[in-house]
Amino acid sequence: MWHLATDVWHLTSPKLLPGPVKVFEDFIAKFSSKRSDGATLPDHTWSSLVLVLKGYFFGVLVGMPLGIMMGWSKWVRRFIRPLFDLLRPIPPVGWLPVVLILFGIGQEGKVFIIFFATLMPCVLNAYSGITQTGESLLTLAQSFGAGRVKQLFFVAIPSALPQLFTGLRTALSTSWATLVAAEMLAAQKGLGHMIQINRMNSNPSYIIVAMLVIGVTGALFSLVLGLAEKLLRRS
Amino acid sequence: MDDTYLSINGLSKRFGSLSVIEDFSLQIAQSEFVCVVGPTGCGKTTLLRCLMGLAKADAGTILLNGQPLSLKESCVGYISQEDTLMPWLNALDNAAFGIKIRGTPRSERRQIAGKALDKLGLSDIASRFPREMSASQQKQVTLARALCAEPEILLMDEPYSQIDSTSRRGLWEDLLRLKAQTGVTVLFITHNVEEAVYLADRIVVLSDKPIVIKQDIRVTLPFPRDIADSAFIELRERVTEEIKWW
Ligand SMILES: Nc1ncnc2c1ncn2[C@@H]1O[C@H](COP(=O)(O)OP(=O)(O)O)[C@@H](O)[C@H]1O
Ligand SMILES: [Mg+2]
Repeated sequence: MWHLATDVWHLTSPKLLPGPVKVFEDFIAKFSSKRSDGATLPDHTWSSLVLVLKGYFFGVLVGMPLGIMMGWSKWVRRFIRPLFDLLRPIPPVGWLPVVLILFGIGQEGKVFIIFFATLMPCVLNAYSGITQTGESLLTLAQSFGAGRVKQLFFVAIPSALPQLFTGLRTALSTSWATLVAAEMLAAQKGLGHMIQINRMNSNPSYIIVAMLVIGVTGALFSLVLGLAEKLLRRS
Repeated sequence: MDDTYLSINGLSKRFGSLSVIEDFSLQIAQSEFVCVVGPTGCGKTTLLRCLMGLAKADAGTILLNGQPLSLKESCVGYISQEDTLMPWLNALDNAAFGIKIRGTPRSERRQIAGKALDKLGLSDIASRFPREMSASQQKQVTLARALCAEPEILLMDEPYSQIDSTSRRGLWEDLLRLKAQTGVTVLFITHNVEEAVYLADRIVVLSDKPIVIKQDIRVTLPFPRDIADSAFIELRERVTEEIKWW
């Protein structure tokens, strides 16, 4: 349809919406060309990937245990929950001005934003997953002498596993989307930057290339997490 | 009695202003099968939870073989009213769950759990998950899980109340067979008088809360019992008469 509308029927101007053939040609060319936005497609992609994975890694590292502890211990919940209720409505990109002041335009700031984008879904899903653990299952473990720690590791976490993975998946797609937004606002490299620059340079086919890469990479992420979940379930 | 195995003395438990158990005492001998019948909400579950240490009694002593009861020891098996199989584990791993908590190494516990399933005729469903089992198979796996820990006493809280009467007969037979093989002491809570008369060496009839023993009936009918037998029916009628006021 896209092909028909552009290259065959010429319904729109190629300046606004290039056809799939042109986009494909540019996609191939962009692997080595730095034209228009100062970096090759692999460079942009790699730059974005590294950022996301760093922020995601730290976000998961902090968010999962934090959410689990919030769900598990009423003391942790009592102290940390109000803080989270306060922070939760702030979208990750909302941190951008603060981050720009604190870290400048560099990579650390964006890692920090991704960290936040990851933290929230991890904490919230882990928290609700753990609190939904069946009381009777915990009692059962207790009847075999399990203390709080064993109840957590043998019952609560396995029972919350599907929701922990929902958290991981949501966090990954949120942080990926957030990265693009953050890069559009302030960056010298990366897929979001590529979109932004090429919008200003009226280079729509590069925008589409960048969008496609973003989409495919996001889908790959979900796929990998899905596989990881299956593997973990089996063991 | 000197052959007292489980000894409950002066047990009391209240929830706020609601006194559920007040100065309750009961002695059970080793290898005895005691059925407890009592009205809904009278405190039967609370009694078992106190015995297990899952609820803290306000007063009273509970001695097993003269020693205070402790959850860490493996001598008490508890089968609660609720469904307690882990939905993410198959039958074998569910059966092994209790001894996993107790720290039995993986290969050993799989072997023990396999044997326990085998004893209850569940080998075919070892790899099934709870959602793929019938209600009575789930109950059997729960029992297998308790058996893996080699309990000396089983506390069972209305285990078969949700099971249809045909399957329940099979569950009764399995339980009696296990009891005969292992000599395990059983404290079995039920609503069903026929079930109590079929299984028990002794039937304890409770009052409404705070619970008091209204009747303590020794059942001397020989095994295997026949629910159509006239002595059986007579005893069933007698116990039913006791609880008519519910
Ligand atoms: N944790 C609790 N807090 C307050 N009341 C409770 C609690 N557990 C049980 N009860 C009350 O104690 C009474 C006895 O409950 P239970 O032992 O479950 O009865 P049964 O098992 O004989 O049906 C009921 O009236 C119930 O409402
Ligand atoms: Mg009950």
